[in-house]
Amino acid sequence: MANYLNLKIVTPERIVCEAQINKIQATAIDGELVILPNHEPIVTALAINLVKFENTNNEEHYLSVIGGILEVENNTVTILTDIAELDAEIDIVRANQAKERLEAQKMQTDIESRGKDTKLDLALMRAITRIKVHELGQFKKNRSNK
Amino acid sequence: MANLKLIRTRIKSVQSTQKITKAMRLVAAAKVRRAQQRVLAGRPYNDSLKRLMKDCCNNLDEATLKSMPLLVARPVKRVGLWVVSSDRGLCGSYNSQLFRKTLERIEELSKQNIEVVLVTIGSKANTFFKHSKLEKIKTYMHLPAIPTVEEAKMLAEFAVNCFTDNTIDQVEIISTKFISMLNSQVNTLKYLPVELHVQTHELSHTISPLKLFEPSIEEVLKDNLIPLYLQNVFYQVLIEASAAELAARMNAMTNASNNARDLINSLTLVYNKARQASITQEILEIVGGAEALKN
Repeated sequence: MANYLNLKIVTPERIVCEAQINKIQATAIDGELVILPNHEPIVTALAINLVKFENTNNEEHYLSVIGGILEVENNTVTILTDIAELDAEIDIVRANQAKERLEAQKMQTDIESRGKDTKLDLALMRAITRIKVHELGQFKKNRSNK
Repeated sequence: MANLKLIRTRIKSVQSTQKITKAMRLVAAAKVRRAQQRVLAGRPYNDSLKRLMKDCCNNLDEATLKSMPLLVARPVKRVGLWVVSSDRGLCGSYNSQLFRKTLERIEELSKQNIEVVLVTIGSKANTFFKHSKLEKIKTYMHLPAIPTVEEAKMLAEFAVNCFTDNTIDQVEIISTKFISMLNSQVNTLKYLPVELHVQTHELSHTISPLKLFEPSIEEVLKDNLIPLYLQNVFYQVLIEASAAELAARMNAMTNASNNARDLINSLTLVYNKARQASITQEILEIVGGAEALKN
């Protein structure tokens, strides 16, 4: 029985991270999901949200994941997604700007069409996720400095 | 003397052309290396996705697979050809090869009485097919030089829309595949309907352990795997094409620089001969004059 999981997060452009982890927490399209070693094989679709994992040195890491698929097999977790960024990689200035711009855009659209403009909502969700991940990353850094 | 000056200006102009082609060669060489790395970087994703697709399909029976609209082949009446060309020229036979293959394919299809519509990517394809009578349903120009997932997504979505609303019964992509620095190949890829290669159905079914799919295997396949797969196929096509284009440009520019060098060499030879001839002429004249004075 293995007591750790191999994590691999891959995008078409690069391998974002490869690590040995104790646990991973992600948000699937139908709810939150925590995977521990020896989890049964599963394939599920991910939502646009943050992914949290704890490596074998008990360090916590955060990622923003824009949709994609999570697969668990033989204690290997593979996340296939278009875009994934570790907390340290996020361009917070850009994310904030994007959020402000998109929110302004959303206010302009009239109430009836609101909620229907899924592209706008998805983009907004992406920006918010990035900001959230960045903040958690900062928080983690501050805590470890103390 | 007029002749000498003419040759000299000619040499100068060839030299400045050579400077440009050399610079372009260096730029293309640097870019092609990065493009190659991008092609390699895409492999792990591609492999995992393909394996997952296979796994998923092995867990499904034929009837369910048949119910996915993107997997079902219809009788083909209209074919959409997606032609992936470059935005810039000066890349040797890269585009002309592509267009030759495209015309061949169009010929082939029209012989079978199949209507062909075009989607051109890159401004070269746009200008080439401008005066063709075929219907062009969309033109993409000046996409970023380094293709990203965003473009692939956009292109894939459009292709899927065309396929699902029955405007097109089959989608094919004609693009250049990067094989090596010196070698590339124009390929025709059947994009939609998705062809799955699951012949070893019974065999692998017993081997692969049953997996849990959430929310359900059909939904995962339909909403996530297939769109991701299609998008990734397009992404691969785009990065391969950009690598092939840069490689072609590098080769063309190497040839151009070499030709310029040869031309300069032969022109220098002609120039030196002409110069020598004029010097000899002058000496002869002086000697002749001196002789005449002596007498």
